Amino acid sequence: MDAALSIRLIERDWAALAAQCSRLRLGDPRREGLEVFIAVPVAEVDDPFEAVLECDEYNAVAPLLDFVDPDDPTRRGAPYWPKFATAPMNSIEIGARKVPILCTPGTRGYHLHNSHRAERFEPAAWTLAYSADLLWRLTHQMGAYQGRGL
Amino acid sequence: MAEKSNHWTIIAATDSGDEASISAHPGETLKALLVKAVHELFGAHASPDEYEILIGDVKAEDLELSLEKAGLHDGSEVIVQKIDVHRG
Repeated sequence: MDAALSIRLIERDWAALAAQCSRLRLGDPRREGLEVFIAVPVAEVDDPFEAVLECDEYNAVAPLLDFVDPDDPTRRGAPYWPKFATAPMNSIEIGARKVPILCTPGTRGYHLHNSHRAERFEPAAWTLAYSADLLWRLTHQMGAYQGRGL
Repeated sequence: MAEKSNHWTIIAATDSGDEASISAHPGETLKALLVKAVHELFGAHASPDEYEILIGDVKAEDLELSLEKAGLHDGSEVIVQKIDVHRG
C-alpha cells in the first residue's frame, strides 16, 4: 500500500483521534511519518507511558500497537509496556522483531496471530480513535497495574 | 440576563469515534441518556444493557444520577461503548 495514501487516511481520521484522546484524558496525539505517538497516563504512576501506533499500510491493516521509551522512541517493546493483571497479552514475531500484542480485535497483533488470522474484519474495526479507546481499556479495564515492563 | 437552558445537547461518541448529538434535559438520568445514545449510534436493535458510558476517563457507575449531578452540562462529551471487548 502506498505510504502517501496511508498518510492521507491518517490525516482524514486525525480529528476523530484527537477528540477521542481528549475525551479519554490521554495525551494529545502527535505524528511522525506513519507513526502516531500518544501519552498514556496510569493512575498510580507519575510519568505517563508512551504508546506508538505503527500505521504503515493504514487502513488496509490495523495499526501495530507498541510502547516506546519516551526518551528514545526508537527503543520499544516489552520493557516499555505497562503491565496489567488481566490484559490478554501475547507476542508475535515480525521479521526479527518480537512484538508484544494486546490480543483483542483492532490491534494488528491480534489479526496477525495464527489463532485469529482467518477471522475477517472491516477497516472500521481499527480506526485510530478505536486504538485510543483500547488504550483506555488496557489501563482501566484489564486488572490491577503491576508495574513497568512485561 | 439569559435564562438557563433546559435543553442540552450532549455529544455521544462510539469507541470508534463516530459521534451523535443527543438532546437531553439536566434532570434526565444517565440511563435515559444511554438508551437514547445507544439507539442513535448503534441502531434501534442495539441493547443498552450491553453498553456503558464514560465521562472523561471514568465509567459512570450510577446510571440513576441526573445528568446535572453527574457533572455534565450543555455541550458535554461522553463515550458510549460495549461493556467489554473480545479477548483472544
